[in-house]
Amino acid sequence: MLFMELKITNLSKDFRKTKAVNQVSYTFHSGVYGLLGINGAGKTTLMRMLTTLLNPTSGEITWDGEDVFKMDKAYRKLLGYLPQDFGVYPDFSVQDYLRYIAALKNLTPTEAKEKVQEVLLLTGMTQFKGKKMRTLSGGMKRRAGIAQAVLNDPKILVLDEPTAGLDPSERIRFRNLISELAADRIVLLSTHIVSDVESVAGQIILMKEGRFVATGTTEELIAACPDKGWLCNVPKDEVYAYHQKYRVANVKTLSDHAQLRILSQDAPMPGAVPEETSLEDVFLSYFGERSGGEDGNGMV
Amino acid sequence: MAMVWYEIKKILLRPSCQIALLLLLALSSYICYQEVYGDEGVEWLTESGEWLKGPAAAREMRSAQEEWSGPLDQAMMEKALEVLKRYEEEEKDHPEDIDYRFQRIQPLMDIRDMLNLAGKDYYEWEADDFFIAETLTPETLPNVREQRIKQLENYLYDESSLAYSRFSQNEKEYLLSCYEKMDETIQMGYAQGWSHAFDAGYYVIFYGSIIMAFLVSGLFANESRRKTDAVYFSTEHGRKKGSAAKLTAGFLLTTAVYWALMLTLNGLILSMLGFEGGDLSILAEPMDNWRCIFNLTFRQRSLLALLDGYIIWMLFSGVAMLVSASTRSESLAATVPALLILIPNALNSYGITQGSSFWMNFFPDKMVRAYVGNSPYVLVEIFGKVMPMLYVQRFLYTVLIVVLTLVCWQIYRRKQVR
Ligand SMILES: Nc1ncnc2c1ncn2[C@@H]1O[C@H](COP(=O)(O)OP(=O)(O)O)[C@@H](O)[C@H]1O
Ligand SMILES: [Mg+2]
Repeated sequence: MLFMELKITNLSKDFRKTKAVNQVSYTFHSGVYGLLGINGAGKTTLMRMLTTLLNPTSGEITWDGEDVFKMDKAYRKLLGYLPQDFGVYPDFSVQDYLRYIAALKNLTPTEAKEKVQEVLLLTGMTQFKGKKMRTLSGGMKRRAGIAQAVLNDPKILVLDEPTAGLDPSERIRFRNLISELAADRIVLLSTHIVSDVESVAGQIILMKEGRFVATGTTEELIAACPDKGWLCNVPKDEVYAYHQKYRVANVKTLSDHAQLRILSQDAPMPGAVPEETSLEDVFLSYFGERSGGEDGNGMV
Repeated sequence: MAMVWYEIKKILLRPSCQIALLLLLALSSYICYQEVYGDEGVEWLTESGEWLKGPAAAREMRSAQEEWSGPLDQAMMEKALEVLKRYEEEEKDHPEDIDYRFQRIQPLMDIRDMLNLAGKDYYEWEADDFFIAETLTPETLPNVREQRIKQLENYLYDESSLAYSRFSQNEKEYLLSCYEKMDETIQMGYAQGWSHAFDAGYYVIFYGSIIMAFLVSGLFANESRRKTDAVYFSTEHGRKKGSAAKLTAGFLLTTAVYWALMLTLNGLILSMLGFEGGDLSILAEPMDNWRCIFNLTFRQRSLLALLDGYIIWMLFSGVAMLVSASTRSESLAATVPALLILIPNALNSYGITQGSSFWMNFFPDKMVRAYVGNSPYVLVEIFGKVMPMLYVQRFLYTVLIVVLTLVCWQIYRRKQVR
């Protein structure tokens, strides 16, 4: 009986007074899931529980109906994990590192040898395999991190902020890689950047203050979003007032007036032109702030 | 096995660990040098007045001592006495040669020491008693075995002696019984190789254990310090087998480094100073071992000291790994074992604890020192049976190593990554 169902039920994690994850329930099947939320939303905490690094305060996580903490290593066998704070062994070469993790993942030395070649190729790290990990750039470290995550062909691939600190070309490369990896597994990808997930994730989960505040496909989220985008031309001296009253997604200053993109249920002023709502708008509407940009200068 | 290998590789590839290993090697080489050529080494004054050191001195001493090897019976003692007295007389005819006598009595120095020690109560020794031997006559030659026992009795039962109240009646009887086990006559002979190898081993065991603890101290703590623990614990084997692999790696490395180092050290010193004398009682070097309660040959003592040293190193590695796994602090893990041996050692050597405090006796410095020459008697009484603390420590430490290992494994495999 294998239907690949990762289910979380009323899952909570408290740190002292903080409810980092608060009564979350959800079911994952094969596909790419984008976990979207600002810094402190609880994404990392949720992922640490999903990877059995952290025991939940309450609630449960099951794989095909079985408690994952009871499954123990049988569950971890299915896991691939790229942590947000991804550390390396500075004195190991990339190849050493991957073979070591392969051993931890119960690959025989022969399997490991083959598989390591394969993931090096997949992540474009082949020519760097002899490099000591301390000398790797942030982007290369991240690639090595993804390489280790997929060594065991995981059924559940958990990637925590995998694009943080990557430059735009690396981001694109990375999105393509995710699409390649998506077949026949659950990929859970967290980010605070809308553009990271909007094209690759089939399902998007908006997480805020430990809760899932909205879930669905991009279209579903947009449809369900109470706010719409409106383009309004306002006098320059009223921009501040609009900022006070509405969520302003964008301001464009023109010669004699300002053009605002406002999120609101109804037209904020006569003559406002309704615009197509984007996932970015949905994000802004839920979080009250813009997601981090492509250049990675958002909140990390 | 692959996991164990990579854990060892993590240690060996670290620059700080490489430095530590080099330090250990340098320290051992220095100690080895000191025990062979240096201040602690073998010296021999030739007839032409030249001081020889190291293997050359050992060669001379060995061949010169041949004549004085064998059982120290009445005949041998009389012969020694005759020679000693002859040189005492001859010395007067050679006032220009201050080393005249010394040079000639070198081959029978151990026998002379024995006569000195047995000739008068050891505990009443004074500086000028270095010449007791020459005051003896064939009629007053001591029975070494009886003398040793008598001296101990005096020491233990004299109300003015420290020992009088320090040892219980049972302990006193035990100590005497140790001396009574001594052979009727002692075999004398050359055993410099063994005694110097043992002395060198003592220092290496003592200071090396601290360096070894440092080597394994990062095994667990570094995973969280470097944030590699998240991936580590999310893998199939990360918790159970991975933690076991770390422990195995730590102990395996300890074992490999210990035996490679100690066997090389012993082999080197023995081959430079000579393998002979292993079967002799350690009392054949009476100056160092007169008070020793262990009836051992040089070879037995070396073997036992090697095994004890191994237990200590394993214990220290175990402690370091446990601290490493439970506190996530590498420096704490490296420091705790060092303090366990250095603090009690310092307290004892500055006389702060008088060496008699019961609890201080459980510390490993006592175990390292157990066979060292004339260290104080450290005894315990368990269920009415008195024994050297050493035996208790051997047992306790071995049990402790097993317990520490299990606790460490349990702690680490349940570790959460926050
Ligand atoms: N180990 C911890 N101890 C205490 N509080 C924590 C810990 N980890 C996370 N938190 C708190 O839990 C909340 C969620 O954090 P986190 O899961 O890291 O969010 P995200 O990954 O979405 O940025 C934050 O308020 C954070 O301060
Ligand atoms: Mg996070």
